[in-house]
Amino acid sequence: MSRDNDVPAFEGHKPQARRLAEKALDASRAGDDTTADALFAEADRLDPEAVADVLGEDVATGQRRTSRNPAPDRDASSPEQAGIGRTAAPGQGFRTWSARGTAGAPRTPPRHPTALAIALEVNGQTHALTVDVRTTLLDALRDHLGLSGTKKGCALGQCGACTVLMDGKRVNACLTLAVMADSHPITTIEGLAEDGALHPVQQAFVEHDAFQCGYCTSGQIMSAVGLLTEGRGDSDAEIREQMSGNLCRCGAYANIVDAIRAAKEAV
Amino acid sequence: MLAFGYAQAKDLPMGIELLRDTPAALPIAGGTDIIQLLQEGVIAPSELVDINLLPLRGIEPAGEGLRIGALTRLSEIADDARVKARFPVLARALEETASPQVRNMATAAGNLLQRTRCLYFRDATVPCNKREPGSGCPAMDGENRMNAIFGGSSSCIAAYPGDMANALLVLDAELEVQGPDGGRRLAVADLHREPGDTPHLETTLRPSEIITAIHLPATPRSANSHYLKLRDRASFEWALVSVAVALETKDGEIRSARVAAGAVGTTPWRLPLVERRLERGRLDEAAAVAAAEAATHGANPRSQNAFKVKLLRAAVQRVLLMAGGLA
Ligand SMILES: Cc1cc2nc3c(=O)[nH]c(=O)nc-3n(C[C@H](O)[C@H](O)[C@H](O)COP(=O)(O)OP(=O)(O)OC[C@H]3O[C@@H](n4cnc5c(N)ncnc54)[C@H](O)[C@@H]3O)c2cc1C
Ligand code: FES
Ligand code: FES
Repeated sequence: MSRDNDVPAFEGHKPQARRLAEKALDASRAGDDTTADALFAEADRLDPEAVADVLGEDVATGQRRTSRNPAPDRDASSPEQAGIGRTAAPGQGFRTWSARGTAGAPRTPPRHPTALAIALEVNGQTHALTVDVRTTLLDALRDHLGLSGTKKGCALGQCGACTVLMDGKRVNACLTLAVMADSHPITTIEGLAEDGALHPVQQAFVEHDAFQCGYCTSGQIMSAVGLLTEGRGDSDAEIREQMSGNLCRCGAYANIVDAIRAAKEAV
Repeated sequence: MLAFGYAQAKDLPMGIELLRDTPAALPIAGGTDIIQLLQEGVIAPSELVDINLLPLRGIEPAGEGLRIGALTRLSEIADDARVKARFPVLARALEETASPQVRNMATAAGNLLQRTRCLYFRDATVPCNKREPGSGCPAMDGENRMNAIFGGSSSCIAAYPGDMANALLVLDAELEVQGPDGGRRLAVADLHREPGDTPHLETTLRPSEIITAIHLPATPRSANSHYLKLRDRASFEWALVSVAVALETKDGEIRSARVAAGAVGTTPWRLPLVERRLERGRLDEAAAVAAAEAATHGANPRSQNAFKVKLLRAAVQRVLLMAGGLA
């Protein structure tokens, strides 16, 4: 194992790819695109990363591209010193795959409250309740207040079954913490009908048979109410685009669009 | 989901202090990415610091440009008449982001800091160098269809998935940031870091810093700017490839150009060669084809994402034709 120190480590095709990329860049600067493309193509074949490096340096000298080489004051001297949302110290902020099944990665215990008393204003009524701060608005509505009209599909913001209005705007209740909804007026499907009369959007859904199993329906209706309040939905294409956050596994989309168009004309 | 503490910041100094007090804390704004990550067990902060009471919401004039508060919702930015007229690439990128519900909740700063959609990062049962440094990267030879073709390293090829950042790159936007040592400006181009051998470090934000605003300077390019997003379905989907472009033209000649691509790099990705090619002539079909040709030098596709090389060239060509009124 006594390799001489002066033997350079084998770097593969990197040096040659770099040289070609630099020549290509010169050609590009001189306006000779054909030569540049041919040289870049050859360099790409040898080592695309070297080409990307040369291009990155090109940007760094003139126009910035990314912080491939962050300036020293921005650089992280140790993982604890920087990172996304300052959480990246391994084992500090993130639960890790290796921690599964063990007691969990070392992590400071919470210092702030893990349960809170809140007031939820739902459909014009104020409810006082105490929740674990992990509770989503969706779970608070369904499991704490017994308002099961709002549905849980994915719990990840992807299906729209949990759509409610908060401060008059449509939102996903599954991506909202109940503690963050404290004191913000909320409307759910249970709060739409007035004096026993269905809301025009509810009526239109019934008249146009805009559902099959009905699981997505309260979310569809709440989203449609939001859409009409926003003043959108002037064409069928716009209705489809603006309802894209609500999936229907039964595929009742055609009738849903009909119902929304009719409701828009009615109000 | 592990238990965490919840604290509400009443003002900015208090927010910074709360973050400094508890190193494993995260600020929460719209919550739309954080709550996904909590539900999937990908992150386990010790506390969430709710910053929604901070007066950081709204869009106001700043010089010739605009200043967008960090807590402004995506729908508020997309619907703003000034943004639509003077920074159309931004309005378009946001109209094509997520769903109406998510856009009503998600904030400007949260959007820039959203984390990758790499399947292995989002699955806490498998190794991932970004989640658990040193555990390995199954994406290298695994399901890498959505991963990056630029800026990857031997540790990580996770793509930056967001839309807004690409638009902000071509608008030369800057961030206002406040932290324990005071305030500073940071170009959006300097926010994200390539993975190198520290893929868990994704941004250049320092501990306890809070983004307070985004500045959009008025440039001779900003009003002539366009966004094209290509995805697996027509709406409500992250990009396979997206391209933002902003052009300054005079008498039919392109004076200056900015072009950036999304979902192809480990960070939002500027395309300097494409810019240079554009900057020396008229925008016609031949020029668009020649410029697009230069978009993919240095690309390093993996087993399942070589299609992004072709798709990126096609997208650059298409968005340039759109910009030139030719498509
Ligand atoms: C179903 C779905 C589809 C989506 N589709 C798209 C898409 O097509 N394109 C796209 O670009 N995005 C998409 N997204 C992502 C979405 O845009 C982001 O989740 C959202 O923008 C994050 O903003 P937020 O305010 O909710 O952030 P949060 O979840 O609150 O926070 C995100 C991160 O930012 C940090 N943070 C927030 N604000 C600040 C601040 N002021 N200072 C410092 N740190 C801060 C948090 O600590 C956290 O690390 C989608 C999301 C969902 C749920
Ligand atoms: S349950 Fe909220 S979007 Fe699916
Ligand atoms: S009616 Fe069954 S999911 Fe929509």
